Amino acid sequence: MDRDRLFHPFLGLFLAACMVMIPIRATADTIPETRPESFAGEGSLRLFATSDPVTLMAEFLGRHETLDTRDIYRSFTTGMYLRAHRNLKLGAFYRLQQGELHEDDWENLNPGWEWQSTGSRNEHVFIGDLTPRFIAGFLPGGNWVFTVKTRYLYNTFNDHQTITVRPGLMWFWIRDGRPFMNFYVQYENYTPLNYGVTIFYEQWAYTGAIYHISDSMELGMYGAYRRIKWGPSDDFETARPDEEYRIIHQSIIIGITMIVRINI
Amino acid sequence: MKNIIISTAVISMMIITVPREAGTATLSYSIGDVKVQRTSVRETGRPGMTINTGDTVITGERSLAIISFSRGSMVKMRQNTRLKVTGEIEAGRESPALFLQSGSVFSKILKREPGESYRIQTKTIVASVRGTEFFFSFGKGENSSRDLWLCVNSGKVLVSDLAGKDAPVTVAEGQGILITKGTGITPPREYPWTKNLNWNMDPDRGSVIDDTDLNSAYTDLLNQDYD
Repeated sequence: MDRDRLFHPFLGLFLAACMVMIPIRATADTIPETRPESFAGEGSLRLFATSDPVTLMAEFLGRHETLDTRDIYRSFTTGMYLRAHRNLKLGAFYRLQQGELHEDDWENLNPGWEWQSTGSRNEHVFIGDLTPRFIAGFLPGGNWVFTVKTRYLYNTFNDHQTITVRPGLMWFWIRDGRPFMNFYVQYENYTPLNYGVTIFYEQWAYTGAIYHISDSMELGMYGAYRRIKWGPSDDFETARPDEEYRIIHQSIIIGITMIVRINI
Repeated sequence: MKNIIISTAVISMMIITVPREAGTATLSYSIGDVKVQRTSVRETGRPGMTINTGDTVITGERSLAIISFSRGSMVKMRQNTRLKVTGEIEAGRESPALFLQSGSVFSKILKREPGESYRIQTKTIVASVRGTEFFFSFGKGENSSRDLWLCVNSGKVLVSDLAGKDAPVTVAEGQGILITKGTGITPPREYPWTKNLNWNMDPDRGSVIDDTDLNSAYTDLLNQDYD
């Protein structure tokens, strides 16, 4: 047997396998893992001060996803609504947020890849709002309000521009001439204007109820399903210009909200 | 609501501008289209016209009428209001009973003498007082299912359900009630919208017109932000 002639093919095969396997292994590390569906708790306090036709608004919101290592999301939003018409409100808001995660936060640490920690990163978002509302008189029982909340968001941190559209239906349980409880369903879609890989970048589906403690205070609870679809980050496109990925993050969110209203 | 206290003597001097028979009611002030219906005859209401038991006073769009009783009590009717006088008005005694058929009425009633009373009612509800100032109005709804609002500026009003389904309710100064669909009496409470009511019945002291939008008594479902 010619041992040299037998040895070299095996060595060649081994070396070839290494050359193929190593790049595959490196590619897998560069793509973020698709997280399992996570659960999040969310809480908010909203303050509305109204002197018709103007309503000032301030909101404090926090969200923590318990089965993930993501940072706590916190935001403070403030601004005003103007009732331009009985069925239409216009709004302008400023939001300071921390803990938001964008697809470009998947970073090349060289070596290794990781999601950046954003818990202490300030992002400034400016928001324009258009909210038409209609009484859905064709629905049984009366007291149904159909809303399509539409917003334009500009994030100065990354120049991201986003349109969100949120149709929703709310039923008011009226007792003694005043709202006693509200029940609602909503669906919201985030469409990126200058980023992302799909017009359905992020979706939320909500359902909830609000109890009117008094004319000036309400307590709400809700459940929401959130889905985000991320494409390649800037670092990945730089490192792997001929490759791409899509990952989806999903979470179930249970929230509680307190609303305080005053007339000024 | 402000507790407005006006001297009876001052009211008498400022509003009563024409001689009246003692114990009668008089249409002492009017704006716009005011009619007085007596049996089948409908006359134009004029200041100074005597209002008798059985008469119905009718105000049209953007109109107002003030009925004064001989001892100083007054009733102010807003626009689009029909009010029938059904009680006793005679010399020395004054127990007016009014039937509100539609619209809204302010009542400023001086303290009753023994044996006297004042009541205003609809088909389903009666409010009776012994000396007070209050507002009584139809609200949303249609026909016999219309809501009724009552709020008290001074004194107390006893509200009773003529069908006897609800226990009588005393509405105190600064409070109001909603009688939903004309029958269910809500507990008395403060209503912010009542602060806008114009209780003035003396034209010499300023405008007597009250144009408070009663829709503001109801929550505007299209104006609720939850974000």
